[in-house]
Amino acid sequence: MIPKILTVDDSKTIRMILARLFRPFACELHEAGNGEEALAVAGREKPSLIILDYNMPVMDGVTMLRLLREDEDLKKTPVIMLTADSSTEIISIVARLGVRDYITKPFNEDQLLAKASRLIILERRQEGET
Amino acid sequence: MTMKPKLSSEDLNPIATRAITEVLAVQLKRVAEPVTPGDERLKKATGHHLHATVTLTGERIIGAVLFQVPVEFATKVAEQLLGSDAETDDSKDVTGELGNMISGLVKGELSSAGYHGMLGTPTVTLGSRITLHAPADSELCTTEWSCEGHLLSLQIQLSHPHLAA
Repeated sequence: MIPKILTVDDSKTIRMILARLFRPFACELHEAGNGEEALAVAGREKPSLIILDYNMPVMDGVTMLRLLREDEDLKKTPVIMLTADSSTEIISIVARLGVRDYITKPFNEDQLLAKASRLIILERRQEGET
Repeated sequence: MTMKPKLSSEDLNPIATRAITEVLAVQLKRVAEPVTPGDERLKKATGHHLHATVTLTGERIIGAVLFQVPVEFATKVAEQLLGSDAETDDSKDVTGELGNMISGLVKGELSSAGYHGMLGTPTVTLGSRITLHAPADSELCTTEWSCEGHLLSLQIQLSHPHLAA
């Protein structure tokens, strides 16, 4: 079964960058624009990996993560947190949330791919495969 | 940077420089060259610009970060980042996200210097070139940049509420 990746960010730019990044790999991509939407998608799709922005309107990444951890079916889902805030207090908060990894914006796409590859199996799509 | 009672424009200039050059280099793989205040090109910087403004609010500082770019630059960047999927409105979102990243780096450096605060979400507007309003007893740091023939501007405005006379 191919892995499912859920990207959560209020920025369409980031969601599209991530979609382009993972498109060459055999995976199923899902998106959400805030934490509330993400919980609904995660409940339905049971993703293999969540890439989650820290600061979002409606429901932020921290709140979403806490609720995720309360769900028996989703609490073990690996999460990579994405944050534009590089201050040490935010990095400490992120580290205490039990995320598997984090990456700060601006981010190097190869580094993000490497982090994702440590958590799920990413295989390149065969030519002609969509 | 050691903690001072008040940050000056001279203190903010290197912070602004590092933030914009890192975002352009890491996310866009582009180089931004500084433009001096009296440069003739600045007088010719007319036309529509996209402005991404992010507020910064803390106990010791209140302010804003403004990143503004010509629409043509934002469109080019949107095509670069989003490829053939880029649509007309994407240049606004791209500008907002670049402003978000730059503000995050600015905030990170201010926090390291003891000036903690929270960032708002970016507001993006369209119009001619603008300057942040600097209330009395506040600092406004304006930096101008050239990137592949386009003039970009990064401004940081900060007040120190507990140091008001």
